[in-house]
This record gives sequence, structure tokens and C-alpha cells, in this order.
Amino acid sequence: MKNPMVVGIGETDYLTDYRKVRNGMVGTDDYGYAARAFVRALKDSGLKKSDIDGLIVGPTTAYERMGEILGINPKWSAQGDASTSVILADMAIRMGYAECIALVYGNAQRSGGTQYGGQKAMGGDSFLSYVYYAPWGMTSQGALYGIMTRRYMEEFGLSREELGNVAVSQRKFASMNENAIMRVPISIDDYLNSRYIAEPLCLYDYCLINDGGVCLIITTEERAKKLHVPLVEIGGIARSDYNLGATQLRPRLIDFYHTPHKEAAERLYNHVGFGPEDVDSLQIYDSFSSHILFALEGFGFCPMGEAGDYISKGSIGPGGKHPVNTSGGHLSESYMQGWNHQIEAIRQLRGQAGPRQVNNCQNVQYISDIAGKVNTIMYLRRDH
Amino acid sequence: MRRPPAMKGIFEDQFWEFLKKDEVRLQKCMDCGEFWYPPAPVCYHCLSENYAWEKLGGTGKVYSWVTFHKQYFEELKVPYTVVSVMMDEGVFLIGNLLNIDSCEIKVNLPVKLVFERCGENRKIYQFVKE
Repeated sequence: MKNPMVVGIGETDYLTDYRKVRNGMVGTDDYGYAARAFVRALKDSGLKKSDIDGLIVGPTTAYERMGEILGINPKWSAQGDASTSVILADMAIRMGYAECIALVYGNAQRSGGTQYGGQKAMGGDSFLSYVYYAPWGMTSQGALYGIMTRRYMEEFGLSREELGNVAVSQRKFASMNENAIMRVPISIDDYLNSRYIAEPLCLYDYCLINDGGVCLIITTEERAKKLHVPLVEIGGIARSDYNLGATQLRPRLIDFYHTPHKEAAERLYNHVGFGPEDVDSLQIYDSFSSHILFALEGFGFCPMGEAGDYISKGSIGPGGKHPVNTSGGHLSESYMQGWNHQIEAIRQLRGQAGPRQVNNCQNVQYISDIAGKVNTIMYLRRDH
Repeated sequence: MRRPPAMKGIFEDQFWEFLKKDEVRLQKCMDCGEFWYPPAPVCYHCLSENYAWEKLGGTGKVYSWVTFHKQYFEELKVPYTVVSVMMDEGVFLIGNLLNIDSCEIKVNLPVKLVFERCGENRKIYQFVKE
């Protein structure tokens, strides 16, 4: 069975739009950002709108309305978060349900005032722990990562200086990305002097909140080879979930999601035939900096409890052994809920990442572990 | 003091009714003996609906904590600290530690349940250092 390929990528102008929104100039909405990204992805791929016969819509927009606005009556469709959408597209292509699938995401969360904590916390409908403990003041995804990180610090001796290396490293990458929102390099002192939000996490441990849109176009190998784009295939995918005790925060506090990380890692690496030591670059879902530590350990990039030491040696930064979030990620480029990480993976494999290009990049692994739902994708470079 | 509202539901409401009597009671499976929390219609282990509301002993140990510096609720001024406590029965409860400064909190600190009035006809459980 031939692997599906990503042939089109598009994203909006994060920095330009961020400045506009901060100046009170709201140019468009969720659907508008998605449409802009879709137009760019089509152009990138060389496909026409009429070629698109499958549509997957991100979680922040309504499926029907998106189809109506983009003017698409697909023969197959779905809805999901970033990595689930790639996995669904992979399955649909393999099954022959559709040939050219557009995955579109648009989110006007900054101009729209989306709340990630409190009574109306985004995600509370899907994840009970985001809203369940309101009477005691426990709310926000950041605080859930705060309490998880505190436990990790107590158990493994992680220091704030070590954790701060994640934000410092990703900012270095962002300074080499003209579309990144936060491009001014920061030092460990800047990190330590920034304000706490949910202590032990401070401002630089948190993702940005900004508007934007992302689109990917995925098709069959045969179709991809007729297009004039560098080839990137979906080499493998794996998922593993830890739901038991989720609202009690058991998977976070006792496990740091390492059990599902390990299960997904084993299946993915067995499938692709290589392991962490041969991964050229990692894109890791980083709504908070500590995601990076937990994922690096769970997927075997460093031993358990040693991620702080590992990242302090520069391993995840420019020129490191395993460059992580080479666009700046959610912390410094743009918070597109995992969607912009897919774009960066493809760009690195195409050799289109400019000054932050990873040398001889043959594979890029994506990892997300949102609320203990671990998805991982291995993207591979292919020659025409 | 006033506090943000709790979730509502047929199982949740029973949990909060017991709090009014200064009791934390959780569902315990009468078939396999497992506790579960938050309240739910069936035992997560054997799927039985045959449960009883068992009273917790009331003691546990601090497992982790987080201090809020950003305010999310008008009722709750920052900074305040939230703790996760592993009760002796093995269940994690979230609460606030009333009689201690956040800088004194540490892992495995022994704590016990107390009850705090919040509003007209409502009580909430909390923790104090033993």
C-alpha cells in the first residue's frame, strides 16, 4: 500500500495579523482565516478547487458553514483536531473514499476573545477537568500543566532554569522565522524574571493567543507525482490514550502521559523501521513548555526524569541533536493548535525552511498529547 | 465566602447534598469494591450500577499544587493555591489548603478534610494541615 502524500501547505500572516488585531483592526473571522490558508495551499499544490473531493474541518468552525463558504460539496468529509485530521485523511485516502482532501483550520481566537480558563473555558465541553473544579478555583489548561509540572519538579528535581530552556530555544528558532509573532531572543534571566501565571509556569511557558488559519492538502502518491511539488509522505501514524482517572488528573500527575507515549512510540517506530536516534526533527504540540519534556522522555529521546538536563545541553535548539519546534512553535510562532506544526514539518522536509532549515532533513516526527490523547505522525521526504 | 458554582447533574447533586452534612461520600462499587470520582452512572471497572455512597475517612497526603496569579473568577482573588490530595482510599481530590502558606506546602504533607460554608445553602470540602 502506497503512502498518502502532503502536496499543499498554506498558512496566514501570523505576525501581520497579530499586529493588526492588537491595533483593533479585525479583518476577518475564523472562516476568513481558513479561506486564506486554503487559497495558499491550493496555489502551493498546483491543484484547482474543483480537484478537492474531500474536506476536513478543524474543531473551531462548523463543518457545513465551512463547506458553504469555500463552495465545496465533497464526497467525503470529517472534523477533527490537527493530528486527528491528518490521520483521518490518511485513512480516507488509503480506503479510496476521496483523492484530494483539504484540511482547513481557522481561528480568530484573539480578536474573538476566546477564554481558556474560568466559567466559559474553551474545551470544557470535551475535557471535564478544564471546568470541573471551579468551586476551588482550579481552572485553565495552563493550571493543569502547572500542577503536573510541579509534581514533576518534586519527583525528578527539575529546576525552573532547566525548564526555561524550552522557551529560550524555541525563541531562537522563531527569530529565524519572518512569520513568527515573537521574534526577539530571550535569555534565561528574561524567563526567570517574567510573571507567573499558574506557578510554577510563567508567561514564557505559555503559548500565544493569536488569530490565523492553516490548510494542508493530502492526496495519493500517484496524484502527487503528477504535481510539481517536493514529495512528502505520511510514513506512519500511531495513537494511544490514557482516559482512566482523567478528571482526577491521574494520567497527568502519576504518569506524565508516559504510558501512552511509550505505546504510541513502540508502534510508530516499529512501523517506520527506525527510532528516536534517527529522527531528524521533532514538532511537538506545545500549548505549554512542559509538553516538550514529557514527550521527549515518553518517546525515548532521553531517559525518564532527565529531560531537564537533556534540553539544557542545547539538544532541542538550532544545531542540536533533535531540533524541536523549529518554527518557534506555539510559544513563539503562532498558536494554531497543532496545525502550524504540520506546516513546519512539511517545510523542513521540502528544504524550504530558510535560515532555520535542519541539515539534510529526511524525516520529521509530530507528537501531540492533548489531555493524554497521544497522536504521533512520521513525515518522510521522498524523491520524485 | 462566595465561590464559583459547581457542575450539576443527577450524580453531582447527590455529592453536594452530602457536603451539606459535612461528609465527602463517593460511589463505591458493591460488586468489585472500586471507588470512582467524579460521580458517574456506572463502575468504570466492572460497569455495575450497584453502588453505595461510602464516606471517606477524611485523611490524605498532598500530591501536587499550583498557585494562581491570574484571576479567572470574580469570587476568587489571586494569589491562591490549589492542591491535589491523594486520599487514603487512593482517590485524588482537588481543594485549597486553609491553614498554611503556599511556600510551606510540600509533597506528602498529611492533611485532613474540613467543611466550609459558601453561600446560603451550600458547603464545600477543604483541607487543613494535620
